Amino acid sequence: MNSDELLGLIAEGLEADISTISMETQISDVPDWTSLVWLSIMSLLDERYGIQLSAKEIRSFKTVRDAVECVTAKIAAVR
Amino acid sequence: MRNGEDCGGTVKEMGFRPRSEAFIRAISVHLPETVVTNLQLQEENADWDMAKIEAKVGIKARHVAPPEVTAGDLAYFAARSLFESSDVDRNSIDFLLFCTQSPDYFLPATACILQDRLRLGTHCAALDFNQGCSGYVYGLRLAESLVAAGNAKRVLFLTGETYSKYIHSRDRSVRVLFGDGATATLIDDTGPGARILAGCLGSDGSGAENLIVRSGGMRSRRSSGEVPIETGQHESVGQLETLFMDGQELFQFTLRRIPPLVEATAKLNNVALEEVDWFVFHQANVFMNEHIRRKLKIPQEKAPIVLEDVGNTVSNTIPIAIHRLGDQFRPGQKLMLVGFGVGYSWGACMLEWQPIHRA
Repeated sequence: MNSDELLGLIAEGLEADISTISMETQISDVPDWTSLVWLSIMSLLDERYGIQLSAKEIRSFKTVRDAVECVTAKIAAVR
Repeated sequence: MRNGEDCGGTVKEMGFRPRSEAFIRAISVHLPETVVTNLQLQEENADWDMAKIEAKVGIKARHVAPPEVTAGDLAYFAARSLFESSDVDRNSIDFLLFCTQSPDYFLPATACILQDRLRLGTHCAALDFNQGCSGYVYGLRLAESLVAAGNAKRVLFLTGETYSKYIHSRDRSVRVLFGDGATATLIDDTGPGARILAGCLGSDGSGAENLIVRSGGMRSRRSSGEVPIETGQHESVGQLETLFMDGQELFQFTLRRIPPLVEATAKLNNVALEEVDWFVFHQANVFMNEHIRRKLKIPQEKAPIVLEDVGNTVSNTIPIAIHRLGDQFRPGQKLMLVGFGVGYSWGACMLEWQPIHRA
């Protein structure tokens, strides 16, 4: 698992091409990034890595990097 | 271990087996006539991507009660059609249970009003209880307990909900999901009908804030005006007296709580998950239900989803699903009913199927 894999997962949740996002993307700048997108991302993370994000954590994310770093730490903790 | 702390706990602490037999004999459904389609929602709200929402939640339309029609009215119609389509003697009902979170009045109990409107005997006890998506399983357990304890021979259990009256027209997160409706279920100690088997209930009020109507009750009788609702990204506004839902918190609760609940309920009934013929989950939305189903490795055909034309009808979803799927169930098959949501609260129980009267 690397950050590209997680970027891919986020793009999948966003139903967008991976080239449209980067680690520096500001989440609030992406108009399609609705709460439903977060539900998709939560679902993918649970299915693929068995990890869960809380609503509080999600609210704290400003950039894609914030999300990737949080998820990476969680995956490391369960392995 | 505290009950509900971890649904994977020992079966003995988790749930209860009926001491005597109780059966579901009949179920009827009533939906208000007015239907709000996704097309209408799209026309009203140009900024909502209804195609994308529909693909995710699997809901195309929902029934909505007109302003003058209450949950009590809807439940009355459901019960009336049960009586009119069968030879059930109204005087044989000795307990009326009504599950709603949108009662007609603060007081008296809507169940008392329904006792009179339905011309039930005055020996009939009447009780409202406030539960949402877990309400049907709660009600079945209550009815079964009353029958098993000898406190009632025949229970009329009604569910009725008009969440639409709590919903802000611009709050996309709830408006697309919820629909109004009512059901009536007849439970007694003789059958014939679907036998109610063991089950477990639970609650965790630490999640109360995540699905709530904040004002109207005594904690805050009146709204202090319009406040923005922030549920993650790009959500719309709501008022204190309207329904607030934090979808992410609810999803996380469901992921954490429901798979262990399902496993514990199977264990309590001494069956393996694979031996359960049908799973009738609370019909929250396609996305949520499918995620739970995949997580539990349940084949799609064993956990049907029937909410496309009615939406999430809260405590009505499970009886509506049983009503719709009844022809597919075979005598002797084992069903698991699973409800979860607002509270938080949850419950699951099993049924041994025999055909029931449906109206």
